[in-house]
Amino acid sequence: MIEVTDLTKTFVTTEKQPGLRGSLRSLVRPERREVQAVKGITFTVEDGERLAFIGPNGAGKSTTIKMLTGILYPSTGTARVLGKTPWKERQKLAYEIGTVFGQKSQLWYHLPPADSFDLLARIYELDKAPYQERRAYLVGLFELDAYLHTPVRKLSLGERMRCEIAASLLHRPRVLFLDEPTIGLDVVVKQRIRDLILELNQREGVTIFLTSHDAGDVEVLCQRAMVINHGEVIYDGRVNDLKHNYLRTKTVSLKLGEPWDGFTAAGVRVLKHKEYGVKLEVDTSVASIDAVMAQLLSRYAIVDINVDNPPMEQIIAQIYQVEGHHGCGAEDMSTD
Amino acid sequence: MGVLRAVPRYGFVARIAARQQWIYRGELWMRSIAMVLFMGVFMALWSTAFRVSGQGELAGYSLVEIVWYLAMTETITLSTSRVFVDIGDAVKSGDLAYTLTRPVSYPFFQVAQSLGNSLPRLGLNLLTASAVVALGVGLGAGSLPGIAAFVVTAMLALLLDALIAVLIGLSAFWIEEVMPIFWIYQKLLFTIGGLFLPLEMLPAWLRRISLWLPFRYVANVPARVFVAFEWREVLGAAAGQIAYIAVLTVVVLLVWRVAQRRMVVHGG
Repeated sequence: MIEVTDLTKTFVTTEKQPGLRGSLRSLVRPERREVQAVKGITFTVEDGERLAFIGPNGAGKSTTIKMLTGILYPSTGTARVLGKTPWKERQKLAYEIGTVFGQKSQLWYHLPPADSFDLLARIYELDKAPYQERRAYLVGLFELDAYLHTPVRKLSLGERMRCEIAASLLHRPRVLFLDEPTIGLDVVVKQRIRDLILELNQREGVTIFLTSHDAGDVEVLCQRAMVINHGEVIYDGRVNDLKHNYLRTKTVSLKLGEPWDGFTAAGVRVLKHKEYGVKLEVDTSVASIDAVMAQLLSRYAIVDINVDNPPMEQIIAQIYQVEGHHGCGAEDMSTD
Repeated sequence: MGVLRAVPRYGFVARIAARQQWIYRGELWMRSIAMVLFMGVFMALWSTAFRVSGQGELAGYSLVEIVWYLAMTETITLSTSRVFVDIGDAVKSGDLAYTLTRPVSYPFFQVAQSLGNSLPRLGLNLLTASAVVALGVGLGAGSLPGIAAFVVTAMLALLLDALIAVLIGLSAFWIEEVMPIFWIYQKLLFTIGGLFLPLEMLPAWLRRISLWLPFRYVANVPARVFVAFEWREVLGAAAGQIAYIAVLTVVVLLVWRVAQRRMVVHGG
């Protein structure tokens, strides 16, 4: 389905020194700097698999997905998606893959999604009746009925993202690439989107390849996770193992209606506190979040609660610690 | 990809673009006001020029003919493409690369979108300009076949303009700002394109240069075809337009191929 061998991408950028002299010098003799965005990654994805590709910003996730969808040539290495080399057979591959780029909408901004869907049907040369059926099915599944005829610019980010994903599935792709699909969405909406993607995979067997810098996407969506940092894959395994080994803590942030007076329980560590606020770290292998929250709720008047996954940087730091790599990046252990 | 399959596809793109125009029809009315102002000013200017010269004709044009000529060139010019702005922005923001994941040819998509925007504008501008000028100097120029010939050559002119606009937009791959190139193009249209003055009024050496360049096919040719309708001239005009459209299509494809390589190798 997807086979990647030793894929590398090195970008060459020209550096310019500041000031007028620097500008002149860069005209005559530009200083070239090489940035290795992807440093030789190898993996295979099977038909129908759900894979999350997570890492901090600048880790090489978007670069990798661009190479797999054919819009970027690698420097070295090979890849095959559905039996085709993406950058060599981009147009042909385009008919069989779907793409959702969180940062770039494919819908016409001033028109309703319905028009964009119709346009995509033409672009992908879909026959009318099957397309109508498919569209109706996706509209039902993604619950888009209410705003199918509202201009996209009037939709909320969550509504728009559901339309984007539906649009990317109109032509029944066998692989769906999603680049940061939940970026900027609030927790409830994120969950909804994750559920939809999951359902789609289970119903149709669409292979899901998702990149994200939100560890939460991994937890609910994928069977397999690959963690990438500085262009290298530092973890490739089952999500359950990742959770068990590295996602063992959750951060609970509380806003209180009364002054903080301490709290002790097994597996709970106070990270920082102010008079009316506190941040706790809960080791979920020792204590359940529900139990801890119940205790807190009975003890304090609570105005607001936030439960977060540990930030990516922390997970990566832990992976490095356990795997014994030399620290590169993620030395900062603060949980803010 | 067969041309036959391509036409309905890109035709649909144009329709969608036209529909988007309709949503912002308020803007269309504003442009109509601009047209009325322009024509008012032109009529005043040229009436004065004729009166001062004391002649009935200047370079073979009567006052009525000149005003109608200008109405036609303005009609086209106020309908021309602004697609280079979108393309330039897409290039600079790196968004353009993402469009490559769909099985569409980006330049032709933009040409179709451009036509979807400009053809409705052409219709509206033609009506507005004709109304103003008819009220101003009467119906002394043009003819029914002239109108038909104008519409056909004007549409070809806008297709030519769309291709030029796409080229201007794609230049963003090599230069920071595309606006200066657009301004140069606009000024060329004004002068040797015959926008402000029929080419007959240009000095001989300039007129000779203008005959060989594509700009007159955007403004001057359709307007002339209306004012001085003559079958042979119409066929010659359309042939010239089609020739330049073919040439520019090839240029666009070549430039796009180079641009694509740049994006795909260097990452946009």
